[in-house]
Amino acid sequence: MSERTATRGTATLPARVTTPLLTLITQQSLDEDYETVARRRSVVVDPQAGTAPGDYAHVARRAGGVTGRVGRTSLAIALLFGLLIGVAVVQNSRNAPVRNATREELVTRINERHTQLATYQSRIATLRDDNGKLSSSYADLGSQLRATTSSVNALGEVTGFRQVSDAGLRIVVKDADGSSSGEVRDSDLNNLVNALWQSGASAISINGQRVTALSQPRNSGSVVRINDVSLSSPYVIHALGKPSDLQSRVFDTTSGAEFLSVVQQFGMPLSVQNVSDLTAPAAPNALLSLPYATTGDAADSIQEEQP
Amino acid sequence: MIAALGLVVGIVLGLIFRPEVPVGLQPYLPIAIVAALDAVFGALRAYLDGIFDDKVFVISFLSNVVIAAGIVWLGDKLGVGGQLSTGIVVVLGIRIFSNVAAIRRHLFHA
Repeated sequence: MSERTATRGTATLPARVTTPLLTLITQQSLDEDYETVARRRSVVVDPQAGTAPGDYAHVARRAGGVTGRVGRTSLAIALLFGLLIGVAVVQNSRNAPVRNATREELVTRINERHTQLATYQSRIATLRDDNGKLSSSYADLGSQLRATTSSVNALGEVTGFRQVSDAGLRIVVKDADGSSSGEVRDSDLNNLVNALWQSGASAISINGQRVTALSQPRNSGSVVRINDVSLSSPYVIHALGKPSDLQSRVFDTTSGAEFLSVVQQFGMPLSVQNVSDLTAPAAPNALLSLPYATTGDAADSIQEEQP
Repeated sequence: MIAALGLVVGIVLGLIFRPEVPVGLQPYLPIAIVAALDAVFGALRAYLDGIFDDKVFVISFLSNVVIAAGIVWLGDKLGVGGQLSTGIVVVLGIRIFSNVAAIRRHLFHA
């Protein structure tokens, strides 16, 4: 059944339909036009000539060299073909370095970027480590700063370089009227201050001038000076501390008794009051720079050790 | 002989003057050369067969070049330029080989 169909198919269909493509291409590799033209010529020259393919050659030759001649147009085409090849070669060789260079350049660039990226990444890791260390040291410093600040504040309250407010005693003493010997002198105020310290005062100020370890009431002529500031009568002394304790003890001490006897002897007006809210201002910062001692460093101590 | 001379002169002219091919035409130059090569080998075979014809050669050369380049151009427009040029190279390559085989039989009688 199928064989019969195939036989009928081959019988009816033309050869160039049934021939496989590759075979067809191989068979018709020569342009059919050459054969057609040759056949037409041979028919013109000799109508009795054979028609089988491949016979045209001798037919054509018999026709007297009409074919097989290379004309000027063919020469022009050959020239054109040569030109085409030359141009293609030139163009290709012109483009080749560009293509190769571009590729190599890209590869180089990629490698460079990879290296750069690795560098950056390691740098990021390093910086992150550093960041961690620095932030932990920052936290340490912060807690250190808080501790130092609170200790500075505590020390400032004790040493007198920070304003404090508390309950306490307000003592006002004035120069006695009349003779100059009735004026309050530095020794009187010193006695009073010492008596107050002994009675447990935490901070003392005279006329708004804080009494510190470095400040002492001193007479300059007839004027009493403290913290390089001149004072004048009436002298208002703020002594911070527990008022009842201060008041009961201050005139029992030796220096307190001495002060009291001077006051009574010259008739200086004296008043002592318990006050629930007193303020002792901070001492001037000028006092903080010590007049004789300077901060040294390791080099100074080495120099001193090796004279 | 005179055709071979023309070919050589053409190549030399191309190498000397180094004409710049427009960028748009550059992809079609190689395929045009393959098509031209097919026409040239066909012509050589026809010459050896003794049925060479000037007019047929010119027409086959020009039409081969134009059609091959045109097909690739169309393929480029459709996005299958690479495949079409492969197909053209395969077909023309087979033709060139079989023509060269025929030429060889003529020259060496083998």
